[in-house]
Amino acid sequence: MGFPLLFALLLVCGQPLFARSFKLNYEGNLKADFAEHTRPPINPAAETLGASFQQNAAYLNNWTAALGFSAWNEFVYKSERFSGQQAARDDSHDVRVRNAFVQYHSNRLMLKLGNQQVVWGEAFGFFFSDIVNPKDLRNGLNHDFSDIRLQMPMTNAKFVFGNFSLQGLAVHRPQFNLLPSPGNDFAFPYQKSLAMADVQVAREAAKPLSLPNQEYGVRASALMDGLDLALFYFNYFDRMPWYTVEPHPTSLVLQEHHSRVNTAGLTATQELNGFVIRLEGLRTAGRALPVIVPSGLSSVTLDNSVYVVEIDAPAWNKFNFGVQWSQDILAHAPSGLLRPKTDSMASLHLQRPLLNSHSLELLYTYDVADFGHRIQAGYVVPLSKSVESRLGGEIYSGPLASQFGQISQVSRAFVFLKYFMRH
Amino acid sequence: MDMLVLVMCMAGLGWQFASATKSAQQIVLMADEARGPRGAFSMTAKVHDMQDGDSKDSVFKISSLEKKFALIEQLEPPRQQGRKLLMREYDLWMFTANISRPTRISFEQRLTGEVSNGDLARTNFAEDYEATLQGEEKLAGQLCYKLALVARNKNVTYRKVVYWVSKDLKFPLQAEFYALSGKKLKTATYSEFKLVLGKKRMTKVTIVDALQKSRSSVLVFAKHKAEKFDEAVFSKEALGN
Repeated sequence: MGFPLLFALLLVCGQPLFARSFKLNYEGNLKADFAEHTRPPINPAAETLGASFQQNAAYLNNWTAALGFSAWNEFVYKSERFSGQQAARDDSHDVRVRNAFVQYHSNRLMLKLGNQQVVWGEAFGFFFSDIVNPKDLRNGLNHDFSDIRLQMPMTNAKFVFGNFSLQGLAVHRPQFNLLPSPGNDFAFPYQKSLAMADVQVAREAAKPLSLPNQEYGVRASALMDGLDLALFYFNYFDRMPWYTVEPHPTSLVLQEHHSRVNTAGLTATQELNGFVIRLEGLRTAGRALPVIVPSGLSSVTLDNSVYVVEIDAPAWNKFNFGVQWSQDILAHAPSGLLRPKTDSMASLHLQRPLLNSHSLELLYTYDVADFGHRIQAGYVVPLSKSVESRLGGEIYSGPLASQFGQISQVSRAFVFLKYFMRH
Repeated sequence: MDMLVLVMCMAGLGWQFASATKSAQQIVLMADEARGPRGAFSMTAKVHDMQDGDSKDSVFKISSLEKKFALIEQLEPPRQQGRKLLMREYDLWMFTANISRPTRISFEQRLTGEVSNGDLARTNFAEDYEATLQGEEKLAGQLCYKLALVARNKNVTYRKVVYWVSKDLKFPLQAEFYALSGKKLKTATYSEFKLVLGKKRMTKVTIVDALQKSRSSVLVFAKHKAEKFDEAVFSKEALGN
């Protein structure tokens, strides 16, 4: 909390020091998410209340600052049904500092210091090249991506020269994905896979602040004759963990570890006759992946490549739609690996505005490797200028061993309400 | 000798044709000036969408540089604040707060109601279209040039535009927009010409769907202000900041 407190002080006291005049505004929202499982046993899947708030300050001499917080409470995991499960303890609430940065912005240079999110990539609906910030995956993926990303303290410098830009990044205190804990709807089926009744996961939430733990990245982008091209490199700790089994008298405790990896990637986008074509390719070296061995759990270090091709079609009868093909390929697949060597996904996304400012959204994903399906459908109804509701469903299905089939009980119908505040 | 006369006649016809085309292009250029100033400026656009008895209002702030670069920020309603549209010549990106990343989109995609992204972002007909004078017609009691505009490249919002420009003041009065298939998409009517940044310019556009007349959008432009923008303001890399 030291940095945010210092920052809050700077935000309030720094104004007369730094600026002749300044402008303050805030933004925030209140959220309520209610969901019911649609497969037996039919019971509440989510009863979440959340809030976020951010104060922004713009100084006329090119300085801006922001300080934001968020909090949510998941009442379902606090119910009797989850008593004693790790999800009740670790996935039932969250209070967090979000953006907390100062930024200098001139015509050519942008320098941002503090807690922030950096987003790379072009493709829709997934986080392929979006590798910098860790993600909070405890409530699934059916939420705003800016809420799922977890801000981290970093230094971010960007130079812009017309159609070219160069970005340098240093992450000072690396943090990691918050994965669903045992007992959570979206959790990996630890008990089934490891044949143990009680499995606990000991999280590695962050690396300590030290010079060897610093992460570095660089990204260059260019816009050339309509082709939007970016190349990036990031030396960082893998946001996904591998595990060791820790001795414990009554349960199996899996200790998370995150190893250092290097990712080099390329993204490209081009518009052709109303079609928007997006490409992404990434190569990661030194990724440690968990494997099941006779003695329990171990890890294996592999390189993996990801490529994504997406085509967004021009609007047809007010339908906006696009298709996406992605492959995540491992260099080889040792036995006991918890994922296939090649994971191929085909996705279709569709959106159509309807009467009274309503709109329909659909994301369908088919896992070609294991025949699993995921459907996310939402019907967005604005209730006022500041309140939006979203009604819909999330369906997971497929063979029991498939990525989506093994969490088919997560399938749910939901009502999501969001109240926007801005001034 | 006959051949020489024939060549001279052909050359004369060619010159006539070239000069007619040039004057058609000049008319479009003058009408563009009445649609919006060149240079660096900002303004607001209040959009009132009507669809089968339902209506909604949105407010956008438009910042423009030399008609080549534009940044459009949505100010109202609050639930859509933070949405931004960036144009760099023929390239367009959308930024929404929930994704926090610029996403490449096309000009023809719908922004709100009957308004396509290109309707707000790209208003440079003279650069985007090759104009041909089709004749003169009376429209709303005013004698107008009727021009056929054909897209110079595939990146513009519409493939063809039929454009009516008042003969005396060179104000744009009406435009019909067509798809590649030849299908008429919508009609825009320009009105309320007021003194804006030193010149009389239109401040209201009514766009009506070609098939469903009950669907329309009215755009009212206000708060015009001359600005000093650097090109870097209109960078995709600055969009999320």
